[in-house]
Amino acid sequence: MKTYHVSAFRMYRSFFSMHLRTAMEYKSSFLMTIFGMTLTSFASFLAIWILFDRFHTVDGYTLSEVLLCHSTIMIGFSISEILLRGFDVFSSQVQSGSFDRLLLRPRTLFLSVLVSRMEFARVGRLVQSIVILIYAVWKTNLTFTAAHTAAFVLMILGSAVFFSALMILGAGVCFFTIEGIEVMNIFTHGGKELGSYPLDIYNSRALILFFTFFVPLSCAQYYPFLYLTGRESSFFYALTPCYTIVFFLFSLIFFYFGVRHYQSTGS
Amino acid sequence: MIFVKDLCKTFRVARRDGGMKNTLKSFFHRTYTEIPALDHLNFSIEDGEMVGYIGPNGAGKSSTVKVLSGILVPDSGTCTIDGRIPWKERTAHVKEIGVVFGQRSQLWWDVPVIDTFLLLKDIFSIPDDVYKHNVDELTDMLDLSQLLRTPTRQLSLGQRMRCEIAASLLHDPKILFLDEPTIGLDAVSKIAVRDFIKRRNRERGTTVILTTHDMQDIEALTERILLIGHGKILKDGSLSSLKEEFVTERHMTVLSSNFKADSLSLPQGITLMEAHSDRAVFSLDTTVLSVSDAISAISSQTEIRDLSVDTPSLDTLISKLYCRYEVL
Amino acid sequence: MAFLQKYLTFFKMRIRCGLQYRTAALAGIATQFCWGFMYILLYHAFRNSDPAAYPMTAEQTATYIWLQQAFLTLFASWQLENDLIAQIKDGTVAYDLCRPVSLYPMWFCKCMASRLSRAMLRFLPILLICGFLPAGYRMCLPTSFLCLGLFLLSLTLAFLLTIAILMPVHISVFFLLNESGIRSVFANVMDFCCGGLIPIPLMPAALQKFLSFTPFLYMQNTPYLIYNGYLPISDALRAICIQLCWLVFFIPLGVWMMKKALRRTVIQGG
Repeated sequence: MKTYHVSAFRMYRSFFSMHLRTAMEYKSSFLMTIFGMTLTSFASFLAIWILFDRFHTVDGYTLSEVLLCHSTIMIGFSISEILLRGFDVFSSQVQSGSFDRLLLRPRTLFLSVLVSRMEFARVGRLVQSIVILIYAVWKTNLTFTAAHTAAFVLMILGSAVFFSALMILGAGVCFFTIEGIEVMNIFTHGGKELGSYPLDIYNSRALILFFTFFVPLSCAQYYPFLYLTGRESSFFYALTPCYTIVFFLFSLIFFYFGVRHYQSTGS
Repeated sequence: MIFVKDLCKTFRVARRDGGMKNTLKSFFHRTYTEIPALDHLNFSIEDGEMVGYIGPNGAGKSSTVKVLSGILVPDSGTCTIDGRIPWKERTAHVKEIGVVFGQRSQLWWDVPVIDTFLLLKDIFSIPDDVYKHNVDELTDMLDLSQLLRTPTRQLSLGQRMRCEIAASLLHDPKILFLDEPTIGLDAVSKIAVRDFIKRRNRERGTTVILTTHDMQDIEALTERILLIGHGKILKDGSLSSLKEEFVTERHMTVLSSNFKADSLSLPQGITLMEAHSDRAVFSLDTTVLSVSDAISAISSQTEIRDLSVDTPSLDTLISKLYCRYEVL
Repeated sequence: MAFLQKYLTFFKMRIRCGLQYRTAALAGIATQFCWGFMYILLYHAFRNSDPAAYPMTAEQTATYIWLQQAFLTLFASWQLENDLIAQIKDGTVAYDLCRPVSLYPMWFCKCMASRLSRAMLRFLPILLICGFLPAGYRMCLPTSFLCLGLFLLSLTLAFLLTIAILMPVHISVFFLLNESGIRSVFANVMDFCCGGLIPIPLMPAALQKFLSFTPFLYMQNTPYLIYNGYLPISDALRAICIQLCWLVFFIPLGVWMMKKALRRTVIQGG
């Protein structure tokens, strides 16, 4: 047993197939949940559509441009929701004591929590967002140079990393106060709603600055969006999603800090 | 070898009093109480021992198990297991231990048991040949062949517990922690589980630490008892020596055809508890009078048709222990 | 009175439970503030883009949004009583049948209490602070005492109506045995139709017309629109009458469904 080691990747794959099989055990409930989840994100799409039906434009942005924002945010959110569900529902794992079980595994805690849950029922939301994204890209008449493609890809990845980081941060908060977890929703769900529009429509510099440096939502999506739609020409704007990695690392450190607190209080 | 010295752990708990007024008050100002869960705990356990770790609820049992398994970091004191400090070298440590929680399952609910085993194989990086050997052996010893292909949700409690124990032993742990392993099981399953644990200890030399409220478990499995109360070890000794020390009472039931139990003249140390026309129950204090003396005293006065001597149950012993050390 | 006493005691207990979660209440207030600001900023942006198409003033919008945030927990469509649902699923509802209280009013009370206990901690601080925000974001006072009175009346009716509509959803678990589907579908539809996502005055005229035939138009947004003066007094009175009508429809419907469901349960043997 000394030299034999199953790689994190292989373990992830095993868990992935287990979660998928478990979800398939209850097909009708699984489909119902997919439907319900899709309905939720459809409602927020419908809200945007209704508002544009009345006002046609907001702060100089067209419907398709707003949908570009909306869909990238939703894709990033759905991806992290599917893959990082273990962190998203972490409070229940701490309360039920199943986190103790994870501490009894000879694996890094990040990996153990990561594989503990996967939520495939959110896949409907992802598919819907991709459809909206395709529609938005088609209607916006984007020019796709290599730099624009890079901005586009970074924007989606950045959103996913951003929401993943928020979920890990939220899991870290659970170690200190389970009741206060609602505050994290301000950033996760609030970020999702805010980011559905280009951030400057809110007409608040403070808001943009806050969401640039503290909670880098702007870096993940707003700045590359400006570059993509030709409002800003500096390629630097396309690269801002890289900053979300710093945020991700910070969240991870905070999570481990929380683990240490948990181990010393046992609460 | 498990070595625990001066282990201390204090928890801070928010106090809540009843009543609308107190609820409102605690909304703005909360008071906390410090509860010492472990208070200079000392003990050591040799390799291959089977130890019953007992104490009333809230005595510090689960805190100890959490510290020993690396989940909880103590405030002060030392704890080494095979030379490792559990919470400092968590991943290396947990490879050497197996933990069974009687009330919490680690099996996946909706898929066959063998799939959980395969997952554990990856989690614990168990090589193919070792895994195969262990599964075969455990299947044979715990009679799992019919169960492995069944989804956990369709198993009875007893079947599930057998699978649960197998799951914790797949990676050949040197130490096995059992937390109420027989809770809710029927008599047959209980015996199967106990026999298996005994066999595992005998054949592999696995150290077993058992926390339970089931005294039959203790009687069947452990030679040594650690009694914990108020976060301290109150008594550390073999089951038989504890019995000798604390269970000095015997119940003697005497059957006789011509009985006037209340008219018997009884020597010191024996008292009449129940008297019927054909039978009487006496209580005997063995520190004063031996069993044989008691029998001869009675048989000299009446014709004994049948006689039985009972030792009070282990539960009585434990409740005596708890009373003696005022841990309840 | 002894009859009412039972429900009152229960009610008090529920509220006391809710009060224990201090951090949750503070976090809730913070959350609602952020959401409120976000929506106000968003609607102001749309208003500035095309003021002629916007049906309310900036003050009316802010007032509407703050009221909605303050009373959010009263009207939350996704908030089903989990312990009631658990009771139905595991059959322990049978114990409640043994108590000398009718189940429908009891459950109605439970829903009311858990919503009120959450709202009680939140609405006052939110409304108080919102009264002192800069113009355009400020929560305004009602135009008259009559307006305030009608608002309170309509708020109460809307609250009762929300619970009366959610009762059949709870009861349907007796028949479906799995609530996750109906919960997510119904919660989404109801939330949207009640103006939970966008205020009803901003919806297209055809959709508003359609909603006027459903109870949804007469739920949370009616009291808010009375308060901010969007609905004139005559319309307000009409809306209150319709609220009453829907209540008279949904309460007996719930009672009837409950009877059906219980008969079914008794036949199944719990």
